[in-house]
Amino acid sequence: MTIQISSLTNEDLRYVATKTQVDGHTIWHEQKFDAQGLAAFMKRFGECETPDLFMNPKDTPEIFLVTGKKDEHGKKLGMFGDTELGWHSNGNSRHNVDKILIALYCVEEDDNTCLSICNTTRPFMSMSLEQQEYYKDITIKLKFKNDTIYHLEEGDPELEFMSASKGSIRKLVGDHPHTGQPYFYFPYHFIEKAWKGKQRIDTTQMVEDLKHIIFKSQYMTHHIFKKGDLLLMDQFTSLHRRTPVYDNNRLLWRVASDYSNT
Amino acid sequence: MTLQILNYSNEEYKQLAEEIISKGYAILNEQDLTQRQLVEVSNRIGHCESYGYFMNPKDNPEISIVSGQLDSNEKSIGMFGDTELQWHANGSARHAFDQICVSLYCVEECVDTVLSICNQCDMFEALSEADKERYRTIDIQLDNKHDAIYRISEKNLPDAPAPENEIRTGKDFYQEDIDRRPLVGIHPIDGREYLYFMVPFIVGALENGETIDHEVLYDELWSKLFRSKYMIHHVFRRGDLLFMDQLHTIHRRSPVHNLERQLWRTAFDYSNIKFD
Repeated sequence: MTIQISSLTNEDLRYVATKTQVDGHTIWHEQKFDAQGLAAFMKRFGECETPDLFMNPKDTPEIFLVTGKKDEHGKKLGMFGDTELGWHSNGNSRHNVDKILIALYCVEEDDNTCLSICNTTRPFMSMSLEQQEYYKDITIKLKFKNDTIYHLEEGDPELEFMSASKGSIRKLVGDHPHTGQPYFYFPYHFIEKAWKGKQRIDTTQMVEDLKHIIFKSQYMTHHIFKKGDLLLMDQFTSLHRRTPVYDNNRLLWRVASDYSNT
Repeated sequence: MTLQILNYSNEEYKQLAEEIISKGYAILNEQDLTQRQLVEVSNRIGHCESYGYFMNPKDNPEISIVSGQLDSNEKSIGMFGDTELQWHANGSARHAFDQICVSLYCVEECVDTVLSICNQCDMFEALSEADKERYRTIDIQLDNKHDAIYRISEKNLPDAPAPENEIRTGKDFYQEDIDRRPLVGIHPIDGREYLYFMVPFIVGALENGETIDHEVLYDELWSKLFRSKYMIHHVFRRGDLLFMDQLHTIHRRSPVHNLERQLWRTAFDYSNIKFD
């Protein structure tokens, strides 16, 4: 019988959290959750986001429906649609990103849709000390931009929600708040400006250089969700992308939390 | 600089082969190989299959080009097209074959196409003893079936038949002296049992020598085998070299978006590895 993550002790859960932070992700198969159960489980890690948007069920506002399915009026039932999603992580353009643990739980699967996860610590650690010092001195300005990770039509409630973020200015290389390990913060679609020290640098060139350093096959894991799969991803030590969805019945439940209870 | 397989010692090849067999697969990144070098690498492990079909380069017939790309005359340059591929393994329409290791080397990538590998050995290991005993009494019969892995018929135009039609396979071509094989095999190198569930090519099944409904067996095995915990998934990047054991694993592919995606494939045995 597969171990149910919900039955783990708090001590074991702490280990799961640390492993997720260090590796960037962990995957649990054949987990049995209903919506209430998943929300309750994620609260054992920390405080969850509950923005009360169209994709948050009223009874379980901690859950975001991720699906390309629409209702009989053609209205979206969930976020992220059915197209390819570019590399991103949660809250990329927000001023303060504290919900850095994302859970994705598969309710309905699609065998042809793949989520790729890229570890953002290992590429940093593989560089020379000189390169590390160079990138540590870079500051970036981030802001959500439509038609980058995906396309949202005018009037789409998801566009309103995404565009509401004011953006942020932060270091390109961060130290993880719980493990202290360094990581690249590289949601490159949203990087508007970059500075080395106080000097503006060519953002396009920096992004192209870093794409070759970070998005290497050896740093990636790929996953096709089957019913009952639970993926936990740390949003500092990983980035993720998705291939287009073939079967719009695909449904994931997504929860974003911090680690404050762990 | 990533260690290049071309520079591997015999001991490193042995370790690689052991990894392929024990895990069912091995992935090397950032390799830099020509077609000839991929053949050399494959030959270091064992003897390669070699054909003279449309997808086999004349100079390196051991290689099969896997691509959905068409040439200027709208002809496929490689096998397997651009659609989803059903679960399969090399030699799956045969009851016995030697080339039980396949390599896939990525020349041109498509980040939206994923290859899934399912481990039939781990799955068998996890079954109940009762299931294991029962499956050991079952033989399966395999043959080529039209459109088994992908829909070649959809590429058959009246004035331009699909080049895949020239590929010979199945009972009529192999002329085997056996007409069945055990559902549960024993790997010739590591001796582990595996469940040989060659999805698209099963045409019959016998339990204790008596014919059973193979479609019922098919549904039963499907739900037991294709579970997330037995699978790994890979999106090829340029320079990735994947090896898969064809007895311990079965694989499938999602549709291809970038038609320029190109893999080079070889199939070989382990005859040049001196296992302990």
